[in-house]
Amino acid sequence: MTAPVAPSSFAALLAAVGSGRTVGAAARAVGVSEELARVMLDEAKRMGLAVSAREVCGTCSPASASPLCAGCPVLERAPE
Amino acid sequence: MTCPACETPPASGPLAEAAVLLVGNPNVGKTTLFNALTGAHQRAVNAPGTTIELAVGTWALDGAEVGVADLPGAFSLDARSLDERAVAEALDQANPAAVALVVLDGTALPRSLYLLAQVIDTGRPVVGLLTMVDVARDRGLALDARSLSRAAGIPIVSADPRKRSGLQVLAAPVIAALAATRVAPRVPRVGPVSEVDVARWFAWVERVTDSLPSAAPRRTTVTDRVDRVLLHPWVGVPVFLAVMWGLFELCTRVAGPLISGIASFAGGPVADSVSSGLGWLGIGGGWFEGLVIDGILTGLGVVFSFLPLLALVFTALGVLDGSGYLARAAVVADRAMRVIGLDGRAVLPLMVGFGCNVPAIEATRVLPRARQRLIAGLLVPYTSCSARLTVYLLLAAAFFPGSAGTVIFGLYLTSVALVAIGGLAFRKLVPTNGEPERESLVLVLPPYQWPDLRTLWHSIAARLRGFMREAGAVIVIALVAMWALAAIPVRGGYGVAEVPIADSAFGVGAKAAAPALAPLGLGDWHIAAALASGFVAKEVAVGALAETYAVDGTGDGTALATRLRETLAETSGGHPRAAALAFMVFALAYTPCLATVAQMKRSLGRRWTTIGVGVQLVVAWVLGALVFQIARLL
Repeated sequence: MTAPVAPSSFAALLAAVGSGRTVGAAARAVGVSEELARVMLDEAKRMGLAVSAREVCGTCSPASASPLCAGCPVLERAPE
Repeated sequence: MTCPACETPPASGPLAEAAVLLVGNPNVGKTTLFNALTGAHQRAVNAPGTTIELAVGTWALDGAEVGVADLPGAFSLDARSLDERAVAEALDQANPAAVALVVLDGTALPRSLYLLAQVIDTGRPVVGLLTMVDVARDRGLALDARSLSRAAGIPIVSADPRKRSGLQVLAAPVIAALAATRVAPRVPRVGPVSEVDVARWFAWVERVTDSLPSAAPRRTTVTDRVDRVLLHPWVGVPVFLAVMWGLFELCTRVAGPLISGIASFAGGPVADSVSSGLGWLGIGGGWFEGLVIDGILTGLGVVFSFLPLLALVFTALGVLDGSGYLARAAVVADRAMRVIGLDGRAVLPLMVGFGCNVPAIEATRVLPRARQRLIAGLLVPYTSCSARLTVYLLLAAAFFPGSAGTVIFGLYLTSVALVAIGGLAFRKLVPTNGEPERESLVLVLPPYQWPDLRTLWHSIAARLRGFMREAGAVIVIALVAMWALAAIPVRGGYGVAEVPIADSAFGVGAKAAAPALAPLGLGDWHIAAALASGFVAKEVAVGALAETYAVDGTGDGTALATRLRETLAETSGGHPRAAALAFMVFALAYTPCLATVAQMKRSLGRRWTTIGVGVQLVVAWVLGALVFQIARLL
């Protein structure tokens, strides 16, 4: 196996997803197939480099300001 | 054939004789390939340093007997789960000249290639087998093994493991690889991998996939059309529930008469013949005949009576798995199971458990991670199997004649609650051993296909053999021990096997244990003896009650119910219904039967079986005491 082409698609994909792109958009931006992008993200999740938004939402509260919670379903706001 | 790996195995341990290691992602047809290569010449061993079971067998290759090991399915050699660690350690520790035969799924090629990249980096000789080419073609992917082999730089051939005739293409590249010299490993030994390595492997995957003919626009396949229905939220869930109901019915209505038939046959004609035979030999009567018929023969009857049930459930699960529906069922049930820390596939053993716990423990093998198998295996005994119904029916009819159905329904709800609460507790108690505590269900759904009958048969036969060999021995030994306790006189001057149960070691032991049941309103030796007998099987508990009261258990149960009401009225201080509820809850929560314990030992190991049984007894006692103490105030 020869050395990778730099910069690696793996790092580029993580950066693209980290900047808010969906998997499909990130795959197109990096120039890999969506199927390969999903395999890369699964491995990134296993390595602790990425977290599924669906899992993060469980920790979000209505008042949460975390950008991670921005994509979660609308939460009912607690009465003030 | 020149085969260094076949002639001088320098490695030690269970994989020392394996010259070919089957590697691949889960659900790629690895086990089908293994069965096709080895036929009936296979056995189960533990992976090096783990309790993870893998199959080894021999492949008649070019006139030589070549050892083959079927390693667990893995997405990566990153060794973050016990299964992946087992694969990584097997590749690290097996015979250095052994060939890694990597099964590549043509419908999920990037995922397969990512694993292949890591296997190539181990320095072992590698051969690839490309499968699912026809399904990939239906999806518009023009794959051919020659292009892929050129791009990957290793020999790759294409064949369908379900069709044995096509597998001869494997012989030449495997023989050549077996004769090759091993190069030095290029990756570190077992353990987490670095981002640099991951990036390098993905770059290789990208180059290989880029060099293949580009995919045509994807066509809608039959699988796509069926999945639109079966994975639809409003249709998929009812279909899934219908399949689960079918499994439950299989365990109760279909298997029930078969179990009763075999038990009656063993206890009737077979026992009579053995008794006559012993008499003819001049060794009939007395304790020896009791030992043979009431101990050994009863034990063998129990073991054989489970075989049709196990065969039916394994066949049903094998058909569901082989057809591709099992993976869909997992997706449908995933959300509910995730609440208790398991993935969707755990719903199957838990549903089967409501029929019978024994095949349910075995069915935990459908779970991909060792920790999940362990948690599910510890939860299965809390599912209320059909055998417990005999206890519920007796007590509910005797103490709640107007609302017996509601009481029994409440017990099933309690069972579901115990599974949910137990799941949350075991998530905290069972160590992760490096496996992620929660993870997304990464399931590559296989296309629908007809199950391969030969693979199904091999799988069922291997599981039944395993049950007979390991669980069967435990059941027979334990039943002989129970017989001995009931046959040995402790007082009264009776002979062996002629003693009334009250004066036997079993009866005296029950009297000693009875005070421990007083907080449950059950401090009576008849009850203690029935619960101890229920450890063997829940059906036996009712028979034991009848025996200790010297009531004919074959009648309508009125006399037994009357005696039971009198006893519980006395032990509960005037709250017999509260004590009856405690009895039923205790019967629900404590160890289901000896066969389940034997199956747990086989699947979970001795340590976790001991812990599991201990927890069941504590939970049953605490829950029974709570129910009694609260119910008597109402």
